Amino acid sequence: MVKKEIILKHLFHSVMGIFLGALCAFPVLADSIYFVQSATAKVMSQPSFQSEVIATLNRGDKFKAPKKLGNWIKITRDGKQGYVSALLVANHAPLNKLEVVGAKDVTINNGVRRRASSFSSAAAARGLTKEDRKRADEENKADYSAVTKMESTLVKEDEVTHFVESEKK
Amino acid sequence: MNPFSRTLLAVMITSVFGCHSASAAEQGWRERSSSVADVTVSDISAEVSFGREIAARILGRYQASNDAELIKYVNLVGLALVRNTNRPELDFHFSVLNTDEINAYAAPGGYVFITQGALKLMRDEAELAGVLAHEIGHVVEMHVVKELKIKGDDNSAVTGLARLVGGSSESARAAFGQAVDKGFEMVFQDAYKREDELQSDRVSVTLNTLGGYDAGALARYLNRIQPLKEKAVSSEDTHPTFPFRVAQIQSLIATDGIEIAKQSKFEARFMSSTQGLRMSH
Repeated sequence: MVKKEIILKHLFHSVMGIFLGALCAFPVLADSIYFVQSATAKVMSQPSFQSEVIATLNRGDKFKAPKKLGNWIKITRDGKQGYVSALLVANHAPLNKLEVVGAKDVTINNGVRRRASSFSSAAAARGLTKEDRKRADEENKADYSAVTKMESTLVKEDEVTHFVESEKK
Repeated sequence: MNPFSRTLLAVMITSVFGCHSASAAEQGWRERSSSVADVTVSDISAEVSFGREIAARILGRYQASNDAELIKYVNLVGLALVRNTNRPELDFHFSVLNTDEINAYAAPGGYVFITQGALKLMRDEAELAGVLAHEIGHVVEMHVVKELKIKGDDNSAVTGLARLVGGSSESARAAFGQAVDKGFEMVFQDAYKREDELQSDRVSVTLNTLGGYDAGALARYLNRIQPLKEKAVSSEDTHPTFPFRVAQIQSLIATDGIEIAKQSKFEARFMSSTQGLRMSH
């Protein structure tokens, strides 16, 4: 009888230990940090665009969220529970275009930045050599001047805003 | 071992293994679902450069339209959609290709093309938005980039090759060219993975909804072009069929409770903006 009690006692402590251990590990899974990447992101009351908008977040806004639910991320804002479309957020602060054009070797994982090889990124950006491009051009396989022309079609931000606003009228 | 020590040991063991598996799970989730969670700025720079090479090849195959008004209109529709994505660091460019082929293409980094043939079959701006949003989906979800492992650091096979391009190795240059060939093939022959194609359709529904457009517009367009594109659709194992894609879009609209009746099509603006296209033929 005493032996049985001892076994049960040991079993209880082992189970408790596993339970407490799981609780310690759980927070790693529990929360992720998200940053809004789109111009704005509506927080909906339900995982549906037709539900009530309970808040609007702006680009760069940061929040912690417990889990992703399909295409939605569950968020608590000002004490209210809501949902943000997963398409509008990422796990790092939004980058501006100049940072990319500058092509600095910086990691952006969760906002932690570290230096990487500058040589490889310069080479990656270089891609094919000038001679290769000329050859591809001559063989009519590629048209770099047409890409340059495509890139030169500049549409200003306020033109896009006006276009979007005029849709609503 | 006393009971306290036993409990403590169990806590430690479970925590270590639990943390490890949790981190692994989180890492796996990032790889599967996020676009730019674990990339470097130089990765994005490589993505744009690689995409530019593919865009040049597309434009080597088809001439771009010179209709400035039409190009601007397509850019306005596309850029309005891009505002609701998680890639603000990319400069998106949209163009119209002078061909009666019915297609649309997206090269990594934000180069998006639609053919005149496709535009002629569309009935409203929501359909144009739906198709552009699908292509934007391939870009923001980095389907080609992930498939070909384009990265800006030393760990990438392609970049490893690109690194040698700066030197004198002919073979390395040829290999880099082959990587661009592969990317071009993926984009131009619509050789995306089945799941990538379906994911882009889901992005289309979301972007159209956020933009105030009819979320079912892509499904309407797919139904219309299906008889014309049937031969081009490959095995169902590798590529989702049009009916399958349409069914997924409709299911998503139902699941998300999207009320299509409340959304817009902007038929008149589309017709006036693409009028020149129809008059020229």
